[in-house]
Amino acid sequence: MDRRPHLILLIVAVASSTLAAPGARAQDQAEAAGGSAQAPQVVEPEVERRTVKPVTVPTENFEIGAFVGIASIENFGSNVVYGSRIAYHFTEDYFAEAIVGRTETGKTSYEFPPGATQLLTDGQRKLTYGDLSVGWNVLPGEVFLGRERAMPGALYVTSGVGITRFGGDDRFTASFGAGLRLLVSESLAVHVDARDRMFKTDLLGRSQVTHNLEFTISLTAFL
Amino acid sequence: MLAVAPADARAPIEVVVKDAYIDLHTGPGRSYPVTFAVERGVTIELLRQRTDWIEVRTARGQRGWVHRSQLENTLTPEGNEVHLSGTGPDARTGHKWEAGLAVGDDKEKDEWIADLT
Repeated sequence: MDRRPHLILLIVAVASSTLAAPGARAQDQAEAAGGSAQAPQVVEPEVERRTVKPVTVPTENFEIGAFVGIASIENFGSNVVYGSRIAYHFTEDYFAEAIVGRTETGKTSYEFPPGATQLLTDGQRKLTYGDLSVGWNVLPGEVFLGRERAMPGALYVTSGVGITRFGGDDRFTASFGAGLRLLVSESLAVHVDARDRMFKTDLLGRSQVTHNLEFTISLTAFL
Repeated sequence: MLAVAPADARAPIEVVVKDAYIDLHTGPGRSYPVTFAVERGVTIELLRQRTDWIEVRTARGQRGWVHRSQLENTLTPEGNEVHLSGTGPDARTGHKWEAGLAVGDDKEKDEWIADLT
């Protein structure tokens, strides 16, 4: 007899948990809809079920393109540089960017005199780099070209790290840059960039950090 | 504040403005000037999304970029809720991976090193 209160409590607990279960309510509604001969409910539930339809607007957060310009490799002259870039825009303010590029370097002043020792082979004079950067759109706004045309654009700064293959070696590279992005059409943008790629080299006899400036123009598409 | 009624993936995504009005910017950012305002009850089409900004087009052909905050929590003409996909902080709380980068100077080898995690 001592167990009767416990039994009652158990029954109450089971009954309440069953009523609270979402499936139970759905079952009740299904039975009601089926016209089962149950006693009418005293309180009709007034829960309107809304269908959630996620809207998938096409996103264009990736920006892919190619660039060409001039790269000055310290002590090794200036030459045409070309490459490609891909960016992902996290927010209207910040983006990440991966860049690969290639240029051909010239001779140092040591190598010009007739009979002078050549520091690098032709293959070693090719310079290839790749880096990852984060960018910040510092000054977004419209840019006016003449009186009639205004284009959305942004002045941005970037900072990144990467690898430069030059002189038969891979060198860790840090880069800093700034650029202007202009949206020339719905999905196309033109960039003008300046970057400083810094890496250590001992090709000229002593280890030094070289600053290698690069000026490029890019055409990109938002995808 | 909008709602959508796409019958299929390629159908125009149309919603009805539910806020008192929405601002149409010339570009996908808060810094771009507002050139139009669209009032409540007007049907607009959602064209594309860049970060948190959605390009919309009105029936009269006016186009502009609206921030996501002015287009969510809205209802379709049928009364359905609308959830816009987003790239904001809310959308990234459930991320599954992340990467880190450490950069240093190796004095012994006299070279910079980087460590990707």
